[in-house]
Formats: sequence, C-alpha cells, structure tokens
Amino acid sequence: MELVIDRVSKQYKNHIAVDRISLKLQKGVNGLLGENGAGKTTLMRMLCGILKPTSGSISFDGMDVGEENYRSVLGYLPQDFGYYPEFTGQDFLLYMAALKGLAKPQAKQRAAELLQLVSLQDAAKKKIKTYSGGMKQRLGIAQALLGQPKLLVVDEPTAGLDPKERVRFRNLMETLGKDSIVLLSTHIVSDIEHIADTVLIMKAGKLIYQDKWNESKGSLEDFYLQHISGEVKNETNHE
Amino acid sequence: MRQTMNNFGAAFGYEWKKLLSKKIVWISSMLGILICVISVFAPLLGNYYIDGKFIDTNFNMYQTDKKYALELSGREIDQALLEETIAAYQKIPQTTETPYQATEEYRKYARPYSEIFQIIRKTSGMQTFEAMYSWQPNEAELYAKRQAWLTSMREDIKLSKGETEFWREQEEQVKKPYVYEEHGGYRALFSSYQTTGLFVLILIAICLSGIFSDEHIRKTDQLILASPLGKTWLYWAKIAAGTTFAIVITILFFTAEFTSAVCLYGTGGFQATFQFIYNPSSSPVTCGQAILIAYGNMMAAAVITSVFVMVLSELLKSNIATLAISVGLLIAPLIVTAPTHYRVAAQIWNWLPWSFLAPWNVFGQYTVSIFGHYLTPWQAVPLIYLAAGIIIAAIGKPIYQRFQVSGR
Repeated sequence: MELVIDRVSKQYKNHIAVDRISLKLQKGVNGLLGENGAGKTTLMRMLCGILKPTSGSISFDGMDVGEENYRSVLGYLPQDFGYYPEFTGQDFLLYMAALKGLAKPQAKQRAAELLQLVSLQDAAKKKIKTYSGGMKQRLGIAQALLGQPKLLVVDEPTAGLDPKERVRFRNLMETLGKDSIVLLSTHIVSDIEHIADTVLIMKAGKLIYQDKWNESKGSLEDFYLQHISGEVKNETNHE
Repeated sequence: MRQTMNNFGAAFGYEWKKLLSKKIVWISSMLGILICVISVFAPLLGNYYIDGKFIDTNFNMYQTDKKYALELSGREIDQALLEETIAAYQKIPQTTETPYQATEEYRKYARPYSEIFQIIRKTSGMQTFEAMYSWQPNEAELYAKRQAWLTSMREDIKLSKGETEFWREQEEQVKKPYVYEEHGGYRALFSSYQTTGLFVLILIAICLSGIFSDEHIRKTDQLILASPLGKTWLYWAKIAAGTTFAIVITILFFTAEFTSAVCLYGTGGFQATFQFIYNPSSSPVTCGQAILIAYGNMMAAAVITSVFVMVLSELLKSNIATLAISVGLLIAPLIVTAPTHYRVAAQIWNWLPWSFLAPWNVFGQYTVSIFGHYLTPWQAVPLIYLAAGIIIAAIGKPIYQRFQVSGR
C-alpha cells in the first residue's frame, strides 16, 4: 500500500501554491504541518482529484488519481465544506454512501456503525440544520470513513471539536493508521504529536521536512517552530 | 478492492429529495398552479357591460351561451344551419346607435346562433358585421373562402410550394361540413395554454437553477467530486432528476387546469373540430387531441428548458445569474417577434422553447421536410428538443467533471 506523489506542483498565474513535492507514503498516520497558506489544502485537494496539478503525478498502488478506482479507496474530509441542511445525519451518510458505490444494505449498516462511532446515533434522524458545529464535523468524519478507505485524507479535522472529542478523534486516527494511509493536515501541532508515524512540514508551497517521527526527538512543537522560522536547514527524506 | 455499485437509482432519489426539501419549490409550485387554475375560470368572473350598462354577470352570460351551444351540438354547419343563422342575424336592425349585442332582436333571435355566427366569421374571413349581414349563405362558398384565405396567409409567411400542398392535403382531411359541438372547456384550456406554459418554464428555472450551482455554493462539491460516482453517474442522476421534475410539473399543471376546466365547463367537446378554437390550423385533429398534443409539446419544451437551465447552472455556478438569464429568455418572446419575411429566422425563433409556448406556434404553418415527408411543428419540435437536450447535456458533462476546487 503506497501513495506516490511525484514532483507535483500547482501554479496560479504568478503564485506557486505547491512546488515540486515528491513523497511516498505508507501505512500509518502522516501528519502534515504548516502555517496557513503553506499549500497544505492545495496539496490535499490534488491528492483527492478535485484539483489538477500543474505538473507531476499522483498514484495509489499504481492507480492514477484521475481513475474511479482511486476514488473508491479514498476517504476525504475537507477543511471547509457544506451539508444539505434539510437532510438528516443518516440521510447524508446514505447519500454519500450511494456516491461511494456502496450497496444499500451495506450502506445502512456502515452508516449505523459510523454514527455510533462518532456518537451521533441519537441525532441520526435529526436534520443537519439543527446540528452544532462539532456535530457537523463529526458527521464529516463519518462520511470520510464510509467506504473503509485505504487512503484517508483529512484537512484540519479537529476544527470545531471540543477537547474530549479531539482526544477521541486522535485515537480514531491512530487506529485507522494501522490499516490504511492517513494523511492528516493541521496547523495545530498537538493534533499529531502523539500519533504521527511520519511528520511532514510545508512552508511556502515546499515540503521542507519529511521523516519518521518519534518522541525521543523531543517536542514536536519546538521542532516545528524551528523549521518554520528557518532556524533549521530544510531536510527531506524521500524513502 | 471493494466493488463499486452503480447506484444511479439511489443518487436520482436523493437529487429529488434535495429538490423537494427546498421551500421555494413548494411555494412557487403551489402559487403557479393556483394562478393557472384561476386563469381558467377568470373569464367567468365579473360582469358584462355594453356602453357602461350592466347586462348580466359573466357567469350567467356563459350559462346562457352554453345552453344555446348544447342545443346546437351535433348539427352540421351546412346550408340549412347557415341560412338559419344568417336569417336570425338579419333580424337585428342594421342601423342602431348601440352595439348590435345590446338589441332586443339579438337577444331574442340571434344569440342562440352566436357560436355558429362566430365560426362563419372566422371560417370565411369576413371581418365586419355588415359583410356578414349582407352575405347570401352558401355552404360551398364558405369552405372555399376558408381555403382561399388559408392559401393567401401561407403565401404571406413564405411557405414553399411543397408545404402549401402539404397543408392543402391536411385541410382536405378536416371533415366538412363541420359538425358543431359545444367545446367551452377546451377553448378555456387553449386560451390559458400560453400562460400555463410560461409559468411551467419559469417554475423550472426557479427550481432547477441551483441544482448544480448549489453544490459549489454550499461547498459540497468537494465531497461529491472526490467520490467514485460523483464525477460520473451523479451528473446524469441530476440531469434525470431535473428532467423528470419538469415532466412531473407539466403533468401537475395540466391535471390542475384540466380538472378546473371540466368542473367549470363540462366534459363536452373532445371530438369537436380543432378549427373551432384555432381557425388557421389545417391539422385534422379534434379539440381534445389538440389539447393533449399541445401539453405534450409543453412537456418537451419543459424538458429541454430543464436541461438548459441545469447546464447553465453548472456553467455559471450561480443561481441568480442562471435564473436571470433563463427568465430573460422566457419573457423575450413577449417583447420580440421574428419578422415573418425572414422565413428561416422566424421559424427558428418560433420553435425555441420559450416561443413555442404560444399555441399558434405549436399549430403553426412552418414544417420540416424529411425525405419529402413533412413534419408539422408539433411533430418535429419534440424530436429537435430531444436531440438538442442530449447535445446540451453532453456539453455540460465535461464542464462538470473538469471543475477544479480552488481558491476557497
């Protein structure tokens, strides 16, 4: 199981949002850190096939990002996205399950499991317009997991979650990382500090750090700040 | 790898659910149907005045006219009936200061024949009461006058010889002498047809202008386009939901109008010759068939409009812009008319969905010739719309698929 990103760039007129990023990601939680505007979301969108790179290629186990098969192994939680306010939480999941190609009985079972997983089982039949921000975010997480993805891309996933929910979310990502590639983008270091197997740092469209992470290296917060401020020479380890 | 199901049916169902969850869909549909139903019985509201003098209520006037019409139902408009009618009208004093309808003689002798009198006027092309008054009834002459009038009209609008011959053959199939039948309900339906069509298309523009753009505005497009079927089947599911919505709306409007017309005017007249309600047509159809044909064509116009609005919605990614352009096009025929001496331009303009709501275009004179066989507007236009709808939808698909989520 491998996600290969090969010299991927995205340029808007004179602005380079993502600059020749090459990566190979394996099973586990991959934490992508970077300030706002670093190019994290642009990279994530390209990984999900909703934004075409200016150059470079993306593939998962040999499947190109443009293929339907690629999208069937993908789970995606965007940073900022919408819902259908008149749908219930259950309707929304069943709709997304239909788009992910799940058969109806399988979709119903999976939706029920995920509603339970994100503690929305009691609100399953309530309209989304009545949900709080945190409930909507949890519903978003549930939809990303519908197709039991092998590649899970989550962009700033903890926004709107309370501290208890954040902890639960981190544990969930850690569990999922055992069987799939999880790419978790955030600017909050604590979101990945204890769960990331690999840490990636982006700055001004470039990947300035990529390596396995363990806590023996010290505080990730300090490590990150040193890289962002330029105190440490950029280093990427293309495994 | 997990097998991906097609799920078109489920996606189609959810698109309908999205449509029906919008308040604007319910409110505008109800309002539209209500206005159209009112337009059917509006002619019966109010009073009838001549020179400011109250004569009767419109409803009573209609009841009386209907009674007379029913008495004439089943009679051929032949020499005998023509003579009866003209004799009755000749009892009206020729010189009177008030309109002839206000005279006692009209009410007593002529009014029972007023339906036949109007048919004679339209069939013969005689424009004035005086011309009718002095006419010596002649069955053969009446229908010959009609043929001469039709030929002249077809020359004016630049029909080809082949088309003129085609329409002459069609005219021969219209049974003559006409057999009169009371047909008030079908006349009312025909009169309100254009208004209804306009409401149907405006409603479609209102309800479907967000079918694609809403996904971009709500930012649900990211989830959809990152899913296996979101870039492929969902496009067709949305198109199918929109087109079936257009069909359902047309059926609802037709049912509401037809029910109102039957309740108010009765069921009679299905077999009445269509020329009673639209004289310039040479189509050998009955009033009932003509209404079904007209509504079938309205459905075709609704479907092509729905496809156009949906693709425009994806292209512009804005509900307001889509609605503004669509409504602008819909009301354009009320302002612009294509000059008939530019035959091709006039035909294209008249056959655009928003112009084709006019019944005189559905049953118009322009035809399409295919291998020497002529298709009337109501035969040709639905086929053209079908082809155009497929082309427009096919053009929209790559626009939808290639959308790039950026800059948010």
